[in-house]
Amino acid sequence: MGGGPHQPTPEQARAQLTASRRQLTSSTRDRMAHALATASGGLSTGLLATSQNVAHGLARVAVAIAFFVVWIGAAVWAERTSRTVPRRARRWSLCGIAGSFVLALCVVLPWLNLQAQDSPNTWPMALLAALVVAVPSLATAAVIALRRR
Amino acid sequence: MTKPPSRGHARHQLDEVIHAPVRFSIVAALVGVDEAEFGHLRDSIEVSDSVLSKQASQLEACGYVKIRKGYVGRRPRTWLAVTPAGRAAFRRHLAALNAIAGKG
Repeated sequence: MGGGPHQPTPEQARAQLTASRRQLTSSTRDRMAHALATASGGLSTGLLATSQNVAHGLARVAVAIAFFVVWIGAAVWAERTSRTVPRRARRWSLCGIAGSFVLALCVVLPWLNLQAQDSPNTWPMALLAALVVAVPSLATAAVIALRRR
Repeated sequence: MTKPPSRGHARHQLDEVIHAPVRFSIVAALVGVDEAEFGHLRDSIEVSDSVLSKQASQLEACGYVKIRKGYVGRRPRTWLAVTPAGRAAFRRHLAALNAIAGKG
């Protein structure tokens, strides 16, 4: 055999190139854990934002507490359950939840406030609005769950 | 006066840190994910705890790998991730290997 450790032969180089294809890939379970955490983050963000127009008193406090419990709980659960973080999953997750916040603040909440001027908002309206807010997070959750690489 | 040797040959582009077999396996495995748990990586590349720990520390010292320690319940857990500098170095290393393999 020719070259030493710093001068690999073409055969050694080819063997290393073959070895380089043995990359870790995230399991379905890992991808699902991060996707579910993202989806629950978006849904709880939507529920928190929209329910403040229809919930009053203790119900409003309960929703706010539930939001933090679900959001932090989902993140901790994903961290504990998974053995890998899928490639770009954190970036996708952040984009999705940030998108939900922007949608809530710029579109859905102004629309709910406008509607409330004519008649009080109802729970079905708030739940529907929460689903709309969650769309970016649900979309990125689907990307995390379905992407193989 | 003799002319200094040219650095144009592909072998000069090989990364000495990544070139070692275990370190190569660690970086090659980690580029497929954002982060991997220590035990999972150890099982995947089939090395002992001590070997992985030592080689990963060397990669961390070069800025190629980031090691994060935390707890799951009361159990300590370590996570490893390849840094952007590590990804770039690995790409350059693979390009050099491709050049060497192509010249054969």
